[in-house]
Amino acid sequence: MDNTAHPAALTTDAASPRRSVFSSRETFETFVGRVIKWVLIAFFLVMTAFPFYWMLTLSIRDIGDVIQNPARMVPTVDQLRNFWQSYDEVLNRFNFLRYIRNSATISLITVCFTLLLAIPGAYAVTRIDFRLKGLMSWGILLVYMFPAIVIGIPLFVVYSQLGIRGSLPSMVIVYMSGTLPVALYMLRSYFQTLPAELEEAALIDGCNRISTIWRVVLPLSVPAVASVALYTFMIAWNEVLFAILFLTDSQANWTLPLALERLDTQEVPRTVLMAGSVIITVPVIGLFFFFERFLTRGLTAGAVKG
Amino acid sequence: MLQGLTLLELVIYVLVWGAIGALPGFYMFAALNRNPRRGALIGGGVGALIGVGVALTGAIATAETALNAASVLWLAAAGMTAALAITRTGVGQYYQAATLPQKTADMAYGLLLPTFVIVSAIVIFPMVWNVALSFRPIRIRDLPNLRLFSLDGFTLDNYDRVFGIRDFNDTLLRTFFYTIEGTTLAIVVGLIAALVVKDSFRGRNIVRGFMLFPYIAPIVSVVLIWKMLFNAQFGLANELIDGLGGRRIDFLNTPGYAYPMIVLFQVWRYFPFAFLFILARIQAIPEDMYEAAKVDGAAPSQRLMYITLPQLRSVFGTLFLLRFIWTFNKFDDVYLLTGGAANTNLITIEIYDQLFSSRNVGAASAVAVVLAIVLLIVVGIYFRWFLAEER
Repeated sequence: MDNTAHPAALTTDAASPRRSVFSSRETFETFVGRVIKWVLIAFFLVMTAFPFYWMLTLSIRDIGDVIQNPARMVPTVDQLRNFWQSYDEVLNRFNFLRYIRNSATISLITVCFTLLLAIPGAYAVTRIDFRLKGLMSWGILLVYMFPAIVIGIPLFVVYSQLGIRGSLPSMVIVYMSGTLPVALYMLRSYFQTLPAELEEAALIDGCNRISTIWRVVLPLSVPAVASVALYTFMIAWNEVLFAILFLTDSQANWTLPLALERLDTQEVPRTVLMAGSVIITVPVIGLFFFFERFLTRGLTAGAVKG
Repeated sequence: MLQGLTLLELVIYVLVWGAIGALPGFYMFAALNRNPRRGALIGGGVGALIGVGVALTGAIATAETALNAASVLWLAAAGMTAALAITRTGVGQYYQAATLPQKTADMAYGLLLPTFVIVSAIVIFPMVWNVALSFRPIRIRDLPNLRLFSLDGFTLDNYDRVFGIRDFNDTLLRTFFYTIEGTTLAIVVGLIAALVVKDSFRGRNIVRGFMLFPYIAPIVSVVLIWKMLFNAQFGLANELIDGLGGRRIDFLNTPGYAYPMIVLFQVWRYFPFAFLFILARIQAIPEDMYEAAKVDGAAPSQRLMYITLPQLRSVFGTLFLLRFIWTFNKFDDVYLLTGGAANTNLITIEIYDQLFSSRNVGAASAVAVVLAIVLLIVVGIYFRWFLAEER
């Protein structure tokens, strides 16, 4: 490839009487680039969206049809009319209503506790000067990297000894080992972008720290707190490693991901499995679409600087 | 209880109980308008005394009684604080006399302490304690009656056992290559995706939204979809092969096919993460750089090569490090997809197998320690190399 900048390219382009696609490197590459771009967009759309579309259609069709016509792309009208069949089975026969409740409870409580602890913690680390500030700040980054499965073993030992392995409150604590570092990290990055002058003004005007946080910092941080809440919810809702480690023996307390994983056996029709998958996926995707703006910003918060 | 109580156990009891006592001490003194840091010290002392006392007398033998005792202690402290504050006995003048830096520091500790204690208890402490566990002969059936912090029966057997596991070195190497390959490919695909949607076009937001699907959807359901798509009997991939006249393949259970599948899955699931980071960085590149290059006659491909990619260097560095660490530690994806069968066993799955198939807690901890050490070495080398490059 000719890499030297070519000043002639522009002038020939401007001077050329008929503007053919190939008249200059600029226009040629722009044209090719546009073609490649649209091909790639189509490719990415199929690659990301199709599997989910496939899950949805499979959950609607009946298993006999799936085995006979594996490649049917669009469900028949008849199948659409009976779309509830697999859902009915997974919700009622396989007790998924209960697991939905378990998952929702654990996730929501995890979100509340995480925010309750992470907001003051992250604020203290970013805004207030004290001796251990640097160490704490580093600690947050470090903790973010810790492998969950390594943490899992000692917690497994302690929980077995306490006899609380498999209870829902104990799961909230375990889930916080995953959500708390993420929340601290994201909130810290956000607080760093807030102008300190506002808080200083409030402090000078006679607010104490607590009311400054309550009246100045929190209202400004609504988007960040919302994105952290959503992200934490997703982590807890999707979590499966700790559920497998701690909950497998106590079926009454299974979370949705664990129940779905356990459902994946030879005897259960694939269509029912897909219905279960839809049930677990829809809340996450729904939340995501609703709050996409917050979330995409939250996901990269602070990691991209300058 | 006195006999057999090792020095190590005593030290840990003092530390843990000191921490349990320091927390209520801090807030109690703050509520009573007294120096909270002194309160934390006093509370820590009281806690440590209680801890040593009960350990020596044997009143607290199990973790369960310890938990109950701690709850009682905290409730008592809360009650006492309330009583003292209401009757106004013991209320001091600390905040009237304290300097501003003192007050700020108190505030910082007050805000941070609960988070610090929880993170220490559920993340840092388990990490450290895991090392101790790896030197003890513990099986799952021993757990209910285990002395948590004793070093009785210190042994290297677990490590012997771990390095005696068949194909352990293969597993280690496979984990390494799986991580490198998947991480690199995911970043490359993420880069392509970011380049594709960087300029605005109709429906851009929707395309961008879809691109995040694989990353945000629950892992269990995503894995089930893949299992369906690549199913040997009625998977769509095999229908396609059938249509082309090929032979059906059981992708996820055949050695030789399963490994590329797990790499492919990783790329598919995690390219959105790279995509988001790279896109954010691309959009922060000032437009005038492109304008200037254009005036100088640089074609689009040259602008990509000489402006965009160099600007992304540091993002690639960060992304690679982050994704490397997370992938190396990742358990769920491959466990759910193949269960480690068909030559796809990874080190995290080995930990799980030691814990639940062999029911051997000590060996599982030993594998976990090996994982952590390998990870530390790799990250260390990476930083060395990275810093050398920067210079």
